[in-house]
Amino acid sequence: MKRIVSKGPADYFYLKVSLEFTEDDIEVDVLLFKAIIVKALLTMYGETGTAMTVDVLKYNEDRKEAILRVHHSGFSKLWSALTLFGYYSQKQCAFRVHQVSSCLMALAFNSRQHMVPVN
Amino acid sequence: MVRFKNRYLLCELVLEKDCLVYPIEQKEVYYVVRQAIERCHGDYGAGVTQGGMNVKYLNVYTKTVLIRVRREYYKLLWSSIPFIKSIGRQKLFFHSLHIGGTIRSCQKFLVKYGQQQLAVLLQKCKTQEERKAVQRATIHCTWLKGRNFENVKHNEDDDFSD
Repeated sequence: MKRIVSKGPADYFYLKVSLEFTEDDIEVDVLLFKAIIVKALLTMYGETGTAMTVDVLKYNEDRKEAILRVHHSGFSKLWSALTLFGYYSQKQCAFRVHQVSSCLMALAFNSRQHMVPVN
Repeated sequence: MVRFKNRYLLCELVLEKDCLVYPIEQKEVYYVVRQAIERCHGDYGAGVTQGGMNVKYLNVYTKTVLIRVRREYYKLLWSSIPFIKSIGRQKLFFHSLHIGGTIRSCQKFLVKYGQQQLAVLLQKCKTQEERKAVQRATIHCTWLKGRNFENVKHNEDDDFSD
């Protein structure tokens, strides 16, 4: 008889997301990015949704790509809110979630987006 | 057994300026509760409670409201109720009294709650007439419940010790 001991869910989940607009000339700085995430949570889950802490750990302004950290209790809510977010100030946009992991090290490399330089 | 299970939330409306009767309709209460759930729990909360939510009973004289909601989502409703501050132009708040699984359990609670409120009212009475009216009402409640007094005569001489 095997006894399985579970450590429970991980404390935090890390997501690598990027924000895509249909028009390419829109600039989003890190504060605006965080505000858009909060707005997505607000429309989907109301004020209790905005109460969960989402941290933007890294932000790349050129590609509008960020690494987010969220507590495990709010993980599925955050992901679903980002998925269903469509418009920001009358402009169509979408959140693309590239990678999700419970440890930050796993986001260091992405075999799907990695480009090998060809000489 | 497949059956929709519900929770019934019993609330009391506390008005800012207490008047005997304030005309409120059930659909106004429903609309205000829907707005509160949408504000506190967003599209998810509004969508999930919309199917089973119903204002089952509203009494403007006793200001009692009974709202039905599906059992899985009663906490969304329960947590949104304190955020309601007014209906129309009347400022009020919802004082939630009891959550029951059936209307009958809520009615049983309401009877007990009414009896407790009579005791509170007795202390607040200012004139002798009010005291007598409340005492008569309390006797009537206990008489119905226990059937102890077979021939109760309500005389003016009957004096109950303070």
